[in-house]
Amino acid sequence: MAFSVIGFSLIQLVGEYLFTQRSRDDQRIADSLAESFSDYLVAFDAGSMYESALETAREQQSRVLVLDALCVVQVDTASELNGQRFITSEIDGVLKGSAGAHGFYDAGRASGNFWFRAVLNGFSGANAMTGVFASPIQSGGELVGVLVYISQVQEIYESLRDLQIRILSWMAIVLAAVLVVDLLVLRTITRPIGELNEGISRMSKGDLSARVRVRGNNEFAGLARAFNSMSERLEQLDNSRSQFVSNASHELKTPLSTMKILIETLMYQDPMDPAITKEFLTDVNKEIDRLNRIVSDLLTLVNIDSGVKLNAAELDIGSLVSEQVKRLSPLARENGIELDCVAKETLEVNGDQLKLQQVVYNIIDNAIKYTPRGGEVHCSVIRSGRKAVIRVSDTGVGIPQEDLPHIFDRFYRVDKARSRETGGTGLGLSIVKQFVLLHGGTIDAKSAPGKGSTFIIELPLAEKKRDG
Amino acid sequence: MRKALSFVALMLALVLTLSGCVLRGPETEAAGEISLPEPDSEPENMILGESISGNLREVALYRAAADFSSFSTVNQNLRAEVGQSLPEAAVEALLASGDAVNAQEAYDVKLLGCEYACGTATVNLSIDARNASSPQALLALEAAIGNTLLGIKGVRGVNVLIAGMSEGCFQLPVGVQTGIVPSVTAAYAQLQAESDRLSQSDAAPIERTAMLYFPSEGGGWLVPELRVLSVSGGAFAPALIDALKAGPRDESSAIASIPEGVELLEEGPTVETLATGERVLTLNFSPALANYLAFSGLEVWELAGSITLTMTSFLPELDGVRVMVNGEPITMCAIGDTLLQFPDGMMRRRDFADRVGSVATLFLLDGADRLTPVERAVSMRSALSPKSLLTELLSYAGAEGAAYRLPLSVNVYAEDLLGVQVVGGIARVNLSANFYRSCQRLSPRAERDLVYAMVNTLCALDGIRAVRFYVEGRAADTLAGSVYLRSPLLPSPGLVAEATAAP
Repeated sequence: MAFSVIGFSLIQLVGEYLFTQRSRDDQRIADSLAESFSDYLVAFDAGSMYESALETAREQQSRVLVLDALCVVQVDTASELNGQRFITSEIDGVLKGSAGAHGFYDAGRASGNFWFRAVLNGFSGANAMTGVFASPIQSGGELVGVLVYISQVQEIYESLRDLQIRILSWMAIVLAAVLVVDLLVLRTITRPIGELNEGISRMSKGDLSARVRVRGNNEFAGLARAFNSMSERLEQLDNSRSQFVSNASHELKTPLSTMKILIETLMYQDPMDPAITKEFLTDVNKEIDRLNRIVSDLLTLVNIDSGVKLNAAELDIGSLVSEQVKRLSPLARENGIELDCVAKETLEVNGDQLKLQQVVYNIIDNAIKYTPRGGEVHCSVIRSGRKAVIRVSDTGVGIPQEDLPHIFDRFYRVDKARSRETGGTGLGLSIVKQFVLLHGGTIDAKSAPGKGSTFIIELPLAEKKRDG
Repeated sequence: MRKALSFVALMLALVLTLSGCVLRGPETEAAGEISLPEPDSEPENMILGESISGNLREVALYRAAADFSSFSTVNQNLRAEVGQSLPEAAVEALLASGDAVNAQEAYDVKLLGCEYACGTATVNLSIDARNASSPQALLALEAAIGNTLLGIKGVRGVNVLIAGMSEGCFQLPVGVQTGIVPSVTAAYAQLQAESDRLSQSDAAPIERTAMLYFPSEGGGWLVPELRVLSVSGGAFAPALIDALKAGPRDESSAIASIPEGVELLEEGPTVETLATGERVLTLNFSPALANYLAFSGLEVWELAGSITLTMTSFLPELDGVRVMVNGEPITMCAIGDTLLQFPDGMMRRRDFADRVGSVATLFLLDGADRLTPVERAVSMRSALSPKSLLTELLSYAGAEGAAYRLPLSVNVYAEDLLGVQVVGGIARVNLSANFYRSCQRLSPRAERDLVYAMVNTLCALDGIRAVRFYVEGRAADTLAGSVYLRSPLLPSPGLVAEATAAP
C-alpha cells in the first residue's frame, strides 16, 4: 500500500514537473511567435507568417496556426484548416484577455468540435498526447489574432507510462512476495497457534484426548510436542485418577459389604449360636482392620502425592535390612519359609528410617506371603558403585511377564483373590516405589512364573564428609 | 487465505485506480462554455465592376546629377488606376516632375506607352526624347527610368524605346536594363569602349540583355522574356534569331516561334535604309519555315509579331522588319478577324504592340486535385485586373477531365462575378446568388480549394494581400458551410505546395 502510494506519487510529481517544464518552453515559443507575427498579421503578410511558422514547425516538430480576431485560421503549417474557424478553451481564454493559455489532450479521447479533434488526430495520431498553447497577437494594444502552437508531448507520456509499468511490475513482485510471506507465516505461525489454541480449548472443555499436529522442528513444533506430552500426561493422570477412585471404591466397598452381610446375619438370625456369633464378629473385626489398613495406605499415598518431607538422616541400610529380616523371621518360620539376610559391610544412605523400614518390610513381607511353605527368601545388601543395592529374592509363585510393568500401580493385583486372602491392600508396592523414588533411588522387579521373584532396590549412598 | 486474496484484490484495484489517475493527470478538456466571437454587422455593399482605391505605393524616382555621374532619389506615393500598371504610373510621375534629368535638360518628353508584362517594362517615349542635348543626356534619361522602375517590386527588366524604336548608343544596342545604373558617365564610357572594341575582328563578345517575344501557349498573345545574349562581331540579328529558335524557358505559357532547322539564307542580314529614311531589317528564312507554319498550327502573325517585336525592341533605330521565306516576303497576316497588310513587306512594332500579353498566375486543381499555380498568357490589362483574372479563373469551372480545373459547376459564368473592389490591399469580391447556389453542394475540401483558388490568384497580384467575399453585396458566413467568409482571407502558400508541405 505504502509502496503503491509512494510509486504513484512519484509518477505524479515527475509527470507534473515534465509537463510544467514543457508547458513553459512551448508557451514561450508561442509567445515569441505571436510577438513576431503581429506586424505580419496587420500587414496581411501571409507569406512571411507561413515561412516563419513552417520553419518553427519543422524545427520543433510542431504545428502552428495563426488565427485572426474572428478565430479564422489564416495560416496553418499543415495547410488543413485555412479559412476554418477554430476555437478551443485556450483560444477562448486568450480572447477573453488571458496572456496565454495551454492544455494537454489525449488525441484519442479529446472532446470538442470536429476540427479540434481533427487537428489533434491529424497532428499526433490517435491516442497521442498533444499540447495546445495559445498566445495573443496584439498590435497597438489591441488583439488582432491568436497564435496557436500545437506540440506533441507523447514522449513525456511514454516516459511516464514506462515508469508506471516499471512500478506496476515492482508492485506485482512485492505483492507476490507479500502473498508468499503471508502464506508462509500462516503455515508456520498462525496455523500452529490456531491448532494449539483449539487443542487448549478442547482440553479446557474436558477433552483430554486433544492433540495438535506437529509440523517441522521449530519452536512451534516443540510447543506442540510439549502440549501433546502435557495432554497425554494429563490424560494418563485422569485415567489413573479414575482408575484409582474406581479401585479405591471397590477396595473400600468389599470389606463394607462383607461387614454388612455379617452384621445383617447377626441381626436377623435369631437365635444364633454364640460361637458363630463370635466368629462373625471376629470377621467383622478383620474387615475393620483391613479397612483401616487401606485408609492408612491411602493416607500415606496422599501424603506422598502432596509432597511429604523426608525425615532424612544417615543410616546403615544393611542394619536396617537385617532388623526387618529379624522382625519377619517369626512370620517366615510360621509359614515354613527359610529367611536369611547377607549384609557384610556398612553402607550408609541418607534416608528416612521409618519409610525405608516400611519399604524393606513390605518387600520381604510380600516375598513371604507369596512363597509357598518350604520355600526360601534371601535378602542381601551390597555396594554397587555409589549405590547400595538391596536384593530380595524368593522362590515363590512368581509374577507373569504381562503383570510385571503394573505391579507398582495402585490397587493392582496379580492374583486378586489371593491377594485379599493374604490381607493385602494393593497399595503396598505402590507406596514402596514412591518411598524409594523419594529417596532418589530405583526399584525393579524380575520374575518368572513358578520360579520366584527378585526385587532390587538401589539407593544412593550418603556422601562421605571429609575430615577436617 | 480469503483475507489475503481480498487484500491482493484491493491492492490491484488501488493500483489500477491510481495508474489511471496518474496518466490522465495532465489532460485538460475544454471546459465550460466557449463561443466564437461574432463579427460586427456590416451594411450592404453592392460592389459592381472593378475599382481600386487606397493602394498607394511609395516609389523612389531617380534624377540624374548635372554631370551625369550619379543619381538622387525622391520618394513619391503613387497609385495605379484600374488597367494601369505601377511602372506606368511611375514613369508618368517621373516625366511629369521633370526629375528624370536635370533641370538644364528639361524638355517635354511624353509617355506613349508602357508595356508591363512578365516582370518586364517596355517604356515607349515620345520622339521628344531625342531632343536631349547629348547622347549622354539621353542615356541619363533612360537610366533614370530604368532605375526607377527596377526599384518597384516585381520589375526585373526595363527597355526604353523612343517612338517605338530602340535608340542605342554608338550604333550599339543598349539592351534591357536589369540592374541599377549608379553612374551614367561610367555606363557611357563602357558603351564607348565596347563600340571601339567591336571594330576589332578578334574582339571579345558583347553581352546584352534582350527582350524576346514568344507566341503564348494556346495562342492569342506574344509574351516577353528576358534573355542574356553574347554577341560577337556585331551579329545581333542572327543572335536574336538563334535565341527565338531556342524557345522560351517556360514552355507552359509560351512556345518557340522559329523551329530548329530553319535557317537564315543570308548569313549576315543587313539593315537597309529606304528612300523614306526608314531603316528595315530583311530576314530571309529557308523554306522549312513555310512547312512549319503549315503544319505546326503557329499562325503567321505570331511568327511575324515575334520576330518584329524582338528585333525592333533591341536593334537600334530599326523602323521595321521584312520577313521573307525563301525570298518571298510576308505581306499580310490575320489576327482573328483583323487582316494586317504589309504592301512593302515591312512590319513595324506598332503593328503587333497591342498583341503583347503577359503571363498571369492562376491557381487551379491539377489532375491529382492539388491546388497548383498555372501560368496563363493574358492581355497586359487582364494581368493587372483582379476581375479579369477571376473571370479567367472561372473559365475553368467544371472542366472535368481537363489538366486543370476549378471545382465549380459549369453553370457559373463571368456574369456571376459582380464586381471587385480593391481597398487598402484587400480585394472585395462580390459574387452572384447563382454563384452562391452553385457552391452549396461542395464538399469542405472542394469549397476550400475553390475559395483559395480565388484568394491565391488575386493575392498574386501586386497590391492585393487579402480577399473578402460578399454575395449580392452582403456578407455571407460561408459558401458551403466550411470556409468562413466574414474575415478577409489571406493566401495560403501551404495549400499550393501541400504535397511537400511540412508537418
